[in-house]
Amino acid sequence: MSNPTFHALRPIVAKDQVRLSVGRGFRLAMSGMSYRMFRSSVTIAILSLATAFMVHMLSYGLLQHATERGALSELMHQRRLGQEITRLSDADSDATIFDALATGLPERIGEYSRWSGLGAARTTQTCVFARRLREAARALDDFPVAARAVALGDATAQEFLLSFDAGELSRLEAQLNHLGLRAPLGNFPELKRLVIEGLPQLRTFAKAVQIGQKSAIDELNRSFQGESIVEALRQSSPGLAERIRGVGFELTSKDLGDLSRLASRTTDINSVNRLLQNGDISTELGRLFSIDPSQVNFESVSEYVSNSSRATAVGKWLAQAGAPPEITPQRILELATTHRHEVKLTRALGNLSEDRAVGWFGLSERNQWLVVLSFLVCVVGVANAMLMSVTERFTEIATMKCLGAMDGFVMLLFVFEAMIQGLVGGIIGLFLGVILATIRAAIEYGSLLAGATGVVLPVASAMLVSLVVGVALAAIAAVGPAWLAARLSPMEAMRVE
Amino acid sequence: MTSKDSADRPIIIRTLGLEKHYGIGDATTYALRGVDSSIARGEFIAVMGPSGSGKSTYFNMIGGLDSATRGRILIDEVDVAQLSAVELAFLRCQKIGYIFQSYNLIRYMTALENVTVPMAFAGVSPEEARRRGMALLALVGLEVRWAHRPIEMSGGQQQRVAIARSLCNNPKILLADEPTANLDLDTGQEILEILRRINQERKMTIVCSTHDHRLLKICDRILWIRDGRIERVASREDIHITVGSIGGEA
Repeated sequence: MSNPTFHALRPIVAKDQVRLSVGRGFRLAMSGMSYRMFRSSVTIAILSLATAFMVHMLSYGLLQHATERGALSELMHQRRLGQEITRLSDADSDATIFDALATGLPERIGEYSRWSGLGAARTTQTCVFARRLREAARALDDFPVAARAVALGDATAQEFLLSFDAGELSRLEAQLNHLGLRAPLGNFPELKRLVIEGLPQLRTFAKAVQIGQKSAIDELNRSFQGESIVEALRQSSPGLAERIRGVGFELTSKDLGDLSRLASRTTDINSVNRLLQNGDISTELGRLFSIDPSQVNFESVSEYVSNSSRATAVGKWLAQAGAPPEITPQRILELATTHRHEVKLTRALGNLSEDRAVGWFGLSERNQWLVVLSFLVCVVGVANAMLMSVTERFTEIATMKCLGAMDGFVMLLFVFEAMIQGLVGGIIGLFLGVILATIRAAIEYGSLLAGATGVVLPVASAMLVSLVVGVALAAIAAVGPAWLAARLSPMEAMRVE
Repeated sequence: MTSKDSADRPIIIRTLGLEKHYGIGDATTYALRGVDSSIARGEFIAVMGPSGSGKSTYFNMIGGLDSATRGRILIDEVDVAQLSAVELAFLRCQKIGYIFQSYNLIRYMTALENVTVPMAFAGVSPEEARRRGMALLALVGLEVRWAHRPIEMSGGQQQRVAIARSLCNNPKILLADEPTANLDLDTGQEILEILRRINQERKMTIVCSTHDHRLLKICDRILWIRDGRIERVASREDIHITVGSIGGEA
């Protein structure tokens, strides 16, 4: 065979080769997916489950925390109201005054400044001492348990410091030196100055406050003309707010309204409890509740009274025992409902302390691992599905490459497919997860869930994060199979099965 | 090896000492053992040979789908071995149309969508691609079935769609890999007729590997490949003289 002579070789002109638009790749991926609906929907299901799991974990954690925060602030409010009633009838203790000064509660400091008659400058100075003393107490509390027991005995650090004098100070110094511990606040002279100067000042201030508060309370009581403060609050007689504020208490109208409700509730609960001491009534109610008569008390009444017909039944017995006119069945139901709500609040706070989670979106470390694992499993599942999708389409891919598809385009096609599946699965999973979390939280907390405020934005951002993570992981899972597809030789198209 | 009537036409496919080995050392398989061939523009070439002869390898090489171990392939005076990935994609897209034995239509696309896929790769606008696609479907007589998917069409119809697809970027070369092997006699005849018409009307170079002896009647030349070498090259006239009466088809 003779070699033909060559002309000069021409370079190929490839300038009009275009890169396919993203839109076209997207449409191709879509039509390919709709053809393989079943396979795609399995992948979508995997993705939606993983996303649902993540969203559920995140939003449940958020709901839980918001609910517990809500419950906590409600309980704190109630506790404060209880304290306020006490404060209206008895002067604050040293510890209460110390706490208020160290924490710097503005309304208390205003009251104390007024009652002590020592002036604003002196009050501010005392506040500084109180704060420093609390720091010292905290430092003492941070000592190792054994050392703390040796130095402080049974007392809390705060009690210990408040009952301190210069003599004890040198004993503490010797003990801490012996134990090789640093003095609270860094050095002993500072602590010494605080104890020698600050403590007497604090005590003097507290004494002055207590005297002032006492006379304020006396003045208030005189204006009640023999009624107790609880009774006065319950009736919320006209001019009560002015009188209470007039003697120096800083209470808002809302506080006073809450106090009035609390006072009437306390009164009513007390009268119910009094009625329950009647043996006949407790026997009858014990039969009604199917419990032992000795266990009949306000707790068991509120447990039983869950609707108005039950309230009527209980009300009938109480009326027979000579209940005051304000103890209507309606009122019994109200008291019971409020009580059950309080029990629930307390119970919710029990969970709070045992599962105080930190980390992203309030997930505990264990749950973080669970989320990560679920996504790993999901990535493997999606990668497997995509791999099958690639292998069953060898001929199609090779044909496309014969027709001029670039490697990058083929790759894009498969990554797109996975991302679309990730998006669809993710959106389904989002709603599934949020619904699941809400149902779970509703079962766990019931009506308390309504107290979970400010949770919409965090949940929305948790949803967004989960969606992005879902789509990104689907894309990552598709990269391997897509690369395999892109590297496929166009010769495969010639193969005949 | 140039035939009388292709002597003055420009050569569009040329192979020089083309070799393809698989494996190394003692285990080396020789698919091609030095193939020199040249195909002129506008020729209709039939490539024949028993299975395992290296026919498929030769076919993949001149289609720019596989690289040579030794030797050169020149397609339209361009050395395929020198091309980058982008240029190879361009070559496959614009210069060569492929027709496959099993049609290889994309299952989830309609006939028209299948025809327009290579135009999308070539950057033709969707409107223009639709217009050209419909014209090509008309050429193969399937314009009324443009919205049908491959599964709704017979083998012959699918192959006609595939032919329309191969023509859509107006390539210089049409490579058909046993286009009639999966079809019955009459349908195969139709396909061959379409290929002949394309060759004659569009002056398109067609290289067709086949076992179908009817092709011998319409092609310009026949390449016989055996054991990785070109065993014989004959023009149609010679075939008619030598084997014209054997197949009982003349």
